[in-house]
Amino acid sequence: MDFLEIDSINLSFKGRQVLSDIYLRCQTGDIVGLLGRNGAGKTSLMKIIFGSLNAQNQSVRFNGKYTHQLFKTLGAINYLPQNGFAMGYFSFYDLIQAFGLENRVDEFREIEEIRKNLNQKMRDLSGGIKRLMEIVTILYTNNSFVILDEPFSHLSPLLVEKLIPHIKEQAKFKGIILSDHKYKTVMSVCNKYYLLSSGTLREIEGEKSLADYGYIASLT
Amino acid sequence: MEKLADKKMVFVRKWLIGMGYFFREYTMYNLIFTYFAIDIFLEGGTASYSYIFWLKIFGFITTATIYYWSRKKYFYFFHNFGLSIRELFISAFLIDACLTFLALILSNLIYQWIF
Repeated sequence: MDFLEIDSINLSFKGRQVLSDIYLRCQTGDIVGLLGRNGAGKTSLMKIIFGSLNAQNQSVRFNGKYTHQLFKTLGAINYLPQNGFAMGYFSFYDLIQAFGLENRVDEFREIEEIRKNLNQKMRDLSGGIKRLMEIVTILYTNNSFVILDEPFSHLSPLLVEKLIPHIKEQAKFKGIILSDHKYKTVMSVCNKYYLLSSGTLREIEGEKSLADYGYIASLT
Repeated sequence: MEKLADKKMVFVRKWLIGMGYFFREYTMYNLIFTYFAIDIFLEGGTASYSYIFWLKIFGFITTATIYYWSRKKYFYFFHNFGLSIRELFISAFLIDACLTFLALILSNLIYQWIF
């Protein structure tokens, strides 16, 4: 079982403290949900964990070993950024081939939207289908942890429903950290949820806590 | 031992694929400077080495700057292959330098053969 520990994360931008003394632990089997308002620092935190952003102070440990840029540790982590990462000239097949997943193509074909667009260039696809393909690629890549930044944005409810079993299936073999504004979906997928507000990370129990901390107006 | 060898193979595979895509993208921007380098070399011969050197440095910095600002989000693709921005540009620079050197030798041979 692999584990990832992040602590003492302090990040400030132009004098504003964005993240303050953050601690987070994730291990194989965990699906950790990060919630927070726009600008709360969710993306920054995920980038710090991944290693593409340096905080003023940070400690990221993979299986107990300190690492400065986690993405450089072989087999450790993959990251799905908010705005996508795949070049327009890639088809889904090219992408999974680059990530060494071509032997799983039959599994991916089970998703209708993928089967129909397997060899279409990303630049010719709708934003939702492109997003789905990127998520599936990152999710299935052979690494211990996956970070998904807003995986459900751009996806229709039907695609979100199709994606959730894949996230749960992959969580049997890896730890997943995801963030999204669709908090009900996040809460239905994850087994741990955290709310990032005023620079601090709080573990929350349920929707009531979200209302208590002002993330949602009231329970509906 | 076998596991370590497997890990090394995965590392090499990832590095080659990641660098391959980066260089393919980057070269498209950088080719024009290589073309001018060949032109200067054929005109001036070995006396033009210093011009070629500075032209390539200028070309590299220009294309690297354009690439960095225009295709910033795609760096995550390469990070997912374990490559940092610094590694990408340093490796691209070294590969480009070797290819330019080979291109100069080859174009000189072709030039001498034709004329």
